[in-house]
Amino acid sequence: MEQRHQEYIDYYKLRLKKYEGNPLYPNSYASEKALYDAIAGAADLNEFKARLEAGNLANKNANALVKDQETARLGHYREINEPIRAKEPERILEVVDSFTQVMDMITATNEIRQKVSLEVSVDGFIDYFYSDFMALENLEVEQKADIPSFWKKEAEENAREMVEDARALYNETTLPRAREWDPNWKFNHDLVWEDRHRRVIPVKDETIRRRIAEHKAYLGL
Amino acid sequence: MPVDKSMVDPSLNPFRGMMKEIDDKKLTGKDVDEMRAALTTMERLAEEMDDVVSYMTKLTTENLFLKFSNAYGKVLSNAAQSSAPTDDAGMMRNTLQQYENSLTQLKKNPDHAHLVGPVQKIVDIGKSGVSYPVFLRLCEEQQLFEEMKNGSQKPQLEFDLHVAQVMGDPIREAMYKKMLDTYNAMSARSKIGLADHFEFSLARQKIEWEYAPEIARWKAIIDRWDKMHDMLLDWIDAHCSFAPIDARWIDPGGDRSKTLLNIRRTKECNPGRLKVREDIFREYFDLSFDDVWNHPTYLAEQKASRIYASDERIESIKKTYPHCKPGGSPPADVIAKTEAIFSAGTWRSRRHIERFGDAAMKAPGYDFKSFGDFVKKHMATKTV
Repeated sequence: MEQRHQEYIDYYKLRLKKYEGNPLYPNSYASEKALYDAIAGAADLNEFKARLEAGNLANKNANALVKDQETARLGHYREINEPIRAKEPERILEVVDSFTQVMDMITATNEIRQKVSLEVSVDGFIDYFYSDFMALENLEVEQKADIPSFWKKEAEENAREMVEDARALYNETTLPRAREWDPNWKFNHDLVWEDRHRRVIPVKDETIRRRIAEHKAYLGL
Repeated sequence: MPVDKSMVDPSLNPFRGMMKEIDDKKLTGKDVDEMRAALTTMERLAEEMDDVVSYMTKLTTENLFLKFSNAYGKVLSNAAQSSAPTDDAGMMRNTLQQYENSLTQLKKNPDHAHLVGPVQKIVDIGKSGVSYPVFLRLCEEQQLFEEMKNGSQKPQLEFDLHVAQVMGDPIREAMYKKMLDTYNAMSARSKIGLADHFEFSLARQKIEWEYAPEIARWKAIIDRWDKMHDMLLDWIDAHCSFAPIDARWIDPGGDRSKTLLNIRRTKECNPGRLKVREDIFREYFDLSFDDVWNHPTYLAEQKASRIYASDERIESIKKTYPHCKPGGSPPADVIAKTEAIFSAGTWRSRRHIERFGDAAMKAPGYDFKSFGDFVKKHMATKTV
């Protein structure tokens, strides 16, 4: 055996070892093994090159790593209950095996990532609800505070102006901006109950139910 | 009117630069056409639109950055393939040249000092006269590629932990501590002594996810008690002789009767308003006004010197709170004390001034070490 051939065998053997026994990389291990078997079983480097091309082993190796990583990512997003983000690995895993060229696979996965990233951004617009909590509280203070009758009219006027300003901001800025991202976007308070949003609103369910009703009235939805 | 050029240029200049690079190399083809089409659309939209936020949204939703980048990647890849040497010596020469170029760039930035070591070793191996497969094997054996990918993880985590500690943010401190412990544990059980970069990125996200509710709760509690304390301080101050000359109540038009009305509003309305805020505070967090003083959020803010009011003012809040009812007044001794505090100019906490300064004194604020310091520490202690 040529010395150079042996040197390549040693290199591919080391790459194989890197993934050996690692449950995160079963596809990469299999693909590295195919590469190792191809070079170890070849009579010389020319035969290895022929085997590499015939089996499209280099491209399959790239696909294998993507499969391993996206499989892990899918499990991760499912574990933390992030169904929108989970669409990215789901969609990539659906198509990854169809690519025979690395660059085509990269282009397609980038497009999927971008598309899901937009969905994640639009899904995040429900954060406007919790962002408005302090404003809803200020409104509640104006409406409920036990104050002398002398101030009641002013408090009512303050509350009316707060609502008017909030609706103007929503209709003139928030809504048009959101529709630049998604032309069909509308405030869907049901999303608040999705775990990914609900878990970062640090108040009880009954309070959220009350605030949702108030928020709809506040913005005139 | 086009989108402001000063906003457009920083976004488009990198793409213009990439286009020029490809044109200078006289590369052509379908992918180059796609790059140009994406850039032309970006330029056209900048002329047609006038709002920078809408413009950036449009570039994102139309996938123009991505279309350009994908095409650019293909152009470079095709060019590299067509000109790349296929013999070992040529591949060795090309690879070495790329690492030498990287090394020159990395040496210019102290924040990248931790990457200099592995890249220098790669260059040294490349120059040692070994063949291309031996070069690749030695780099793998010495984990140099992994070190390049992973090199910044530990100093970054230590830096994040340090920032949380200096900020006096116990929740984030615990979060970054857990990340660091996880990273160390993953590295310890790794065959190569380095945590898998990808595996750790998932673990890190999971830890961020675990702590997100507590971070939100912590901030929400502080925001609410801070507001209640301000309401009570305003109520006390409105009863003091300096109120008519205090900016909080002075009518912007200089109308004294309106100023007096503003003071009267605070005196008469704040007790009722405070009660609503207390109810909200209890409903949200099962906490009462008096619970705040021993609450971890308050103690942490105090420890971090972020409580603006002086200790005397805080004592006044505590003493006045039971009197802050509709129709009530602050105790006379609190009013007298507050007037003395304002006369002496000691309404602000000494610790707050010492940390954040005032017109007369510069102060350290948040005295963070540089990221580079953590890189240096990492390089001095790492055993890999």
